[in-house]
Amino acid sequence: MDPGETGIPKADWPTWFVAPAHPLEREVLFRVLQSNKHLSEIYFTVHMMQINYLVFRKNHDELVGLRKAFDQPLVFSQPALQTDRGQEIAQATIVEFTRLLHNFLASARMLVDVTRRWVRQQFADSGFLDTYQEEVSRRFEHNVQAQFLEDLRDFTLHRALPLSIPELRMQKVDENALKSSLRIVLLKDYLLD
Amino acid sequence: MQIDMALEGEVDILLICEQYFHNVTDFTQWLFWQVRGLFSDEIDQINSVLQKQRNG
Repeated sequence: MDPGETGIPKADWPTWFVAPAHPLEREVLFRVLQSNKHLSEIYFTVHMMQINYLVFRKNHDELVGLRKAFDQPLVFSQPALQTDRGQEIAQATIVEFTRLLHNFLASARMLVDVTRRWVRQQFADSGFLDTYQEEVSRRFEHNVQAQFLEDLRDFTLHRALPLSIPELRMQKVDENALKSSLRIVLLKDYLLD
Repeated sequence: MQIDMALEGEVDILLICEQYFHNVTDFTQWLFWQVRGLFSDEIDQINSVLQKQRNG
């Protein structure tokens, strides 16, 4: 998305609440929220939305971190996957990748469902609900990646864990070092079976 | 299923996940700014509690 479309610099997020600096402020804030249901709902919902996004983000960071862990010069006496140790690494990589992909897909769906439910509930009688729906449609309705990952999530959570193949590639940097890079592929035929 | 899309026999799943993550992040950013604007009165009201406490 072009950040200019909304006038929001890409790296900027809105600021929300002043954080209590000590127990007395926490107590004062707590009493105000306890006495006003509307304010209390907004306060906790905003925190919930932020946590939901951060869970999704953390799962993404761990998933792509798996690739970055391999994307560095390493010293090998011989190409790793041709050894027994290499096979152990490959198996461990498949397990870890499958775990991280499962978490990423599940948290993506959680974020979408919880956010949608809250917006529909909160803005049922507001014009913002239409704005929200239009924005969702514009961004995701014809987004092949989003639809693919939604299908993959259903497959992963309700049918089987996806079969992945790690491709650990070695590139010679100098006489004693190889640069490795990791690419993980899913087999389309297996997903369609 | 969208899995049967115009791809060869292999899918670089990490690349797709990264692109999807950036799309969702952009959308979440947009949504947060919208909600921040819609609830600005309430958020100001909550923040004023501690600001008054500190000023006073």
